[in-house]
Amino acid sequence: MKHFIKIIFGFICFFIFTGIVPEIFAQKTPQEWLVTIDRNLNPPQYEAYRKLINVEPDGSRKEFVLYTLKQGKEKVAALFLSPVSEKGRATLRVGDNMWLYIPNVGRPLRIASLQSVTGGVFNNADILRVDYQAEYDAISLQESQETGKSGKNLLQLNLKAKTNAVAYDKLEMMIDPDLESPVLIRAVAASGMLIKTIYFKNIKDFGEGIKRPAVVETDSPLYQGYKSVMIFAKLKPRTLAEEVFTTDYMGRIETLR
Amino acid sequence: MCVALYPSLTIAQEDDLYSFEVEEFTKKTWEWKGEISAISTTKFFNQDAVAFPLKFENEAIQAEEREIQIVLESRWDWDWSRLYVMGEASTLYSTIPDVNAEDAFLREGYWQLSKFDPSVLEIGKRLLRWGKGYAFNPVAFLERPKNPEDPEASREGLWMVQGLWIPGAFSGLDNTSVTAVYLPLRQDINEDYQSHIPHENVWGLKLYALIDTTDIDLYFVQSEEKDEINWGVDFASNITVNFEIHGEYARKIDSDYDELQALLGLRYLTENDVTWIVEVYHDSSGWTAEESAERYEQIENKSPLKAKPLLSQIQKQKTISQNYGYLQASAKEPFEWLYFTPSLALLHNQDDHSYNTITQLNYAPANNWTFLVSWQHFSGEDHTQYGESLAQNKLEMKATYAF
Repeated sequence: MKHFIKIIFGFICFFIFTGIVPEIFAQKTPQEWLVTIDRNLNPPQYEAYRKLINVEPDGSRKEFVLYTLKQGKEKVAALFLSPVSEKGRATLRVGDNMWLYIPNVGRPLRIASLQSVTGGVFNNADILRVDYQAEYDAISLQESQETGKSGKNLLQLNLKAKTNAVAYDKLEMMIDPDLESPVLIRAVAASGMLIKTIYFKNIKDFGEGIKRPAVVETDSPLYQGYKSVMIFAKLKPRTLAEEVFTTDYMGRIETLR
Repeated sequence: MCVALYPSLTIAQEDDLYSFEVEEFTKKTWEWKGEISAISTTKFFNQDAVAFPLKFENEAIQAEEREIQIVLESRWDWDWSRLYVMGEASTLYSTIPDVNAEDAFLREGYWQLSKFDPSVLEIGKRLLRWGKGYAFNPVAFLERPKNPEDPEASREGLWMVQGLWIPGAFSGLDNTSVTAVYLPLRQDINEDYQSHIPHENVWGLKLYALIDTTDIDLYFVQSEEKDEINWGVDFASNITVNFEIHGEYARKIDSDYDELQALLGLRYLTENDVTWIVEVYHDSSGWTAEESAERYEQIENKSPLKAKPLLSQIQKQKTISQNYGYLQASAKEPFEWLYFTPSLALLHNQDDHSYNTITQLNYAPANNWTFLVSWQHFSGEDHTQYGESLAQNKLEMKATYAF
């Protein structure tokens, strides 16, 4: 009996020291990976500045600067700070609802997620991105043959839209397992057609425990030669009242800066 | 050599692309912005219109107009109060001298107090913009009327006090808000809003709720001395991600009359990025086709002295009949032409079957520059609203620079 206990103890030590046990327990489900990705991309509540750049095939650019606020999984507001012609415009997203506030029009108009308030390859769903888990279910996870910067094989997390109100039917998210951050996302329509590819670049430490890609870039086979870039700055946690994410507050987002 | 330089150039371009000097956008206590527009308009007249001989003694075929418009907007932002001012100045030169004009006015100017943010109190000149419709807003009780020919045009506000309280979500409502408005009418305050009323106190209340994907508003407006009560309701809802419906219903009730205005509309975004807006509008106080034809016949047959006031009354109103239909199709960046939006709008007087067609080409190729070419065509039988329009065709070119 003593001998048997020794053998069992020996096996346990072997598994612990060779790292097999931590590896087994460390394996996350696809849904857990999705939650991790969401949390690593942004804190539950935050404010940030973003620059959006639309690049045309001839190299000419159009730039927008937005002040962004996010609360919970599905509330996002963005205020245009530049160019001057767009200054004061605001967009709000609460779940499947999206509104655009134009100072001259003066009241929030409902907009569709597939439209784009800035033109270019990013649509409203990309600009007012809520947590991926709010819109998608993680259905499978597999090891990809593609490798990340760390040299390790990327993980492919496959996401399926919860409803047909979501902008893209499927997402193929390639994850760097070391960084626990997406490297690229392929957005696919229900027909199987690739709508766009979103690239995550320049991992940056924003402080207060937030380390995420500072650059998000996208191109699309539907817009050959065009690309759009989103650069994050001053991303930091911020607690806000729920009432900020209401249509009545859209004209006053500037007061929160 | 070139091959050796290429990667470093590419890296430099990438670095430039990804640079973001965020400190430039630090908020300031005082900020301002402006917009200057140069507008060139050619109007081709309808010589058969009953209004033509009243306006022109000679056989004018067309008029050329040149206009410069400047809009300045400023904001002072203190701890819990803010001051907003927006003014407009314009100068218009026309080949018809009577039309030449210079104008400057305050569009909006109000003091906003938010000591109890998100609740807020605003005092000053303000444009409320009630309603959900695009071309028509029956529930816009406390505003200057919108022009369905140019629904996005700026309008002048009214002097008022407005309080907004946002209770937020409760009892199954995803969001709620309450707005109370006081609008005085005096000889020197809002005197041009309802010029036939020298003294009045108007009180308004708006209750808003978001239920799932539907916005709903209830409106109540009461005039103290006139004893008129207006009430209305509107809604807007996303049926699917690219399909929205909206509607408005308004009643104006006095001891002498009970008027009804209603609107039903939809917005639909197709897979190839064409946005369709369709609206039908009804106003029980409008004229029937026979009544409006009678008015035009009166103008035609009366002496110029008697006809001119009647003509002026018709021309001031943007809608004169009971029923209208509005259809607009706008294509976003067709043929991969970025920042280019062509649109076609059709305004149909459903009572007299006259049409107003507006074609627009909007192009914003660079930051702060917008170019707009617009062609408007009025058509219809004799003694119909658009058939009797003084201008049969209108070509407008507008360049706007924001600074």
